[in-house]
Amino acid sequence: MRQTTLITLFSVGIMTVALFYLKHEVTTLEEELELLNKTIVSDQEAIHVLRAEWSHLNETGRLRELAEKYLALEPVRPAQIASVPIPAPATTEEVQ
Amino acid sequence: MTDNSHSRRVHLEGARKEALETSRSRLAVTSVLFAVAFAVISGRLVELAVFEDPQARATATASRTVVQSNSRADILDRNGILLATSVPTASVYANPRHLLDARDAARRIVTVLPEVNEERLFRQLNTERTFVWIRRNITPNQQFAINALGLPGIYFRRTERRVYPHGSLTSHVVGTTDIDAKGLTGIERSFDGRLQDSEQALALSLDVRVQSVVRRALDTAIEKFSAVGGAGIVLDVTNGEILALVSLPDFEPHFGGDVTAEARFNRVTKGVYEMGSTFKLFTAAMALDSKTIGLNGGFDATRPLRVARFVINDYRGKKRWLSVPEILVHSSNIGAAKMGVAVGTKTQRAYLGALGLTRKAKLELPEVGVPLIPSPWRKISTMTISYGHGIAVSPLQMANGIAALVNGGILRDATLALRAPDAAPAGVQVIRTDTSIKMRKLMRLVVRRGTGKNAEVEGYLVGGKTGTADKPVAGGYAANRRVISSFVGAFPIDRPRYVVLAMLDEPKGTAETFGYATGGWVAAPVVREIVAALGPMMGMAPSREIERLPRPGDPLRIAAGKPGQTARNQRVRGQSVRGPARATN
Repeated sequence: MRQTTLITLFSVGIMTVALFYLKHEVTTLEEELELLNKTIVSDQEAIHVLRAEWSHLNETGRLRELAEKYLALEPVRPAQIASVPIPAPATTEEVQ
Repeated sequence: MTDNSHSRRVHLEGARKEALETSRSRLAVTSVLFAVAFAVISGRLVELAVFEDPQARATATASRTVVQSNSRADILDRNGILLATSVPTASVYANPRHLLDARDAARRIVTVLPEVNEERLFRQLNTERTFVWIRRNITPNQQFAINALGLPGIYFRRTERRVYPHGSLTSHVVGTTDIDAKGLTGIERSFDGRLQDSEQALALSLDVRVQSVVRRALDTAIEKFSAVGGAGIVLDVTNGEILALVSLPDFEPHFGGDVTAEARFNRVTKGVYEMGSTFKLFTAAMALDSKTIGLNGGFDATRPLRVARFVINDYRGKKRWLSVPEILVHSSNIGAAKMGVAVGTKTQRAYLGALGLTRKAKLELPEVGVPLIPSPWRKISTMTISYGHGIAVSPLQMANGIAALVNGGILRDATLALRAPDAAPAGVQVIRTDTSIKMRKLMRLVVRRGTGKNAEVEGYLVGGKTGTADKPVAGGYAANRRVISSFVGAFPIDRPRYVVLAMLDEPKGTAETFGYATGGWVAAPVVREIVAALGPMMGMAPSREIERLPRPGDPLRIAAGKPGQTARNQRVRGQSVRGPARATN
């Protein structure tokens, strides 16, 4: 009888401590999760705004102005496009 | 049982024994209850721990999902370039009941937001209401400054602001929203529900690069020829996708209110115009397709046509018999009118109907114009329609009709929504494939030998037709030759991929164009510029083939002489300035 009582008390003690740690851990993790979620949302927002800004910076009129100012390049003219005949791969005899 | 066996061993007497018996039975009942409770709990534990419960798992993970921050979906071009998006901003509002001193609050808020009227704000704050917007979409600096004022009763709310990174470039297509981010015009309006409900970005068929090329070419031409406006469209003939849709003047979509109606007006889809000679392509197509006439056939254009009180004439006309190719190349009104009569009113009506020119175009925009068709459709209507007067259609309908003429004869509704590759709708066969091939040749001839020479691009075979139409004014046509000049082209004409249409509203001739403001002089160069940029951009190899002139005997052979601009026609010298029979080029 005494043995049973001891075992019971012992396991109650262990379980209490374990449960406390578990609960504590869950709370900590939940706080961390909430923080992460907040960061994700704000990051998403930032990405969103940056994407809008990126698109704005890539506005075609602006790019053209910048290209005309800083690059000595101009749009490809049809006359500048040519097809190069690809030589047929050398046969083994020719290589030898 | 146990009780009995116990009572056999232990013999107690009287009240004591009875009390013990009672407590024993109570104990038994309690233990049974507890045993059942524990059994239930253990069972549940086993169920949760051992057996997978998908529903429980779902609830456990669902509440953890991060919610996307922007509510209204983005609008993208065909390459994923952002055309419209929502960015979070702060809006400041007041709860007047929480305010200590409305006069003081108004005075101090105005120091941060100078664009707010102090007197009006005071009147708004000096009420018993609980919610008053002070200013929507303020900057983070303004938000900080207002916060620093430390006024009770002033609060912020997270709102969203619609941003169009490309500004006015796509304003007529993408459209605008109101301050509550509800679609007002364009795609924002027609896809309002879709943009609100789904986070998934909406991809359009538009290509900002092409859009930019078209806009620039048109804008330059408008400036050069002092035109009041212009319209441009690039259409993929294989699936009906619109790559560029430009209506000028356009507007900055961010400033909703103070835009003129003129700038808001979408000339490509909403505006309907008498397109002039470009319509002769339809006349020729229906004449060939209905086998009314062959390429060898023709009409006598020696004398002006007199019908009732109208006279249909050619300017610097050839004054001789003209073959079908010659009628198009020299843009003869007399020839086209006679061709139209030969086709017949009923057939003309049927073909124009099949080409989608007599009903409202189907497009994913709220701003689509209804064509003006004659009622009743008399013989004189048939004649004037043959060269593009007496019927008003939108440039979009025109381009889509031409697409059907050159793509093998299949009409598909033009679309602004991006279609999956190889997911072109079947469409409707409106003319035969062999007619379509003939039309390509005729259109090429107009650019090689006729009024469309200024659309010639080195490397790409362009085919098309010029049009110069007198602008109708109340009761007749403008006396001072106000015109709509246009060019509609397709390229590469041997295997058409794109239809390009450029239209200028009221261009004025310059010294460079010898005073001419016709389609061939003002609109064809715009198309040339667009094609020269579009071809390399789309990775189309330029053709190096040397085109042979049609041999003598070929119906496509055009008699030598002063080609090109000499064939320009003049408006009809009618007995009356009223009526639809003014001519075109």
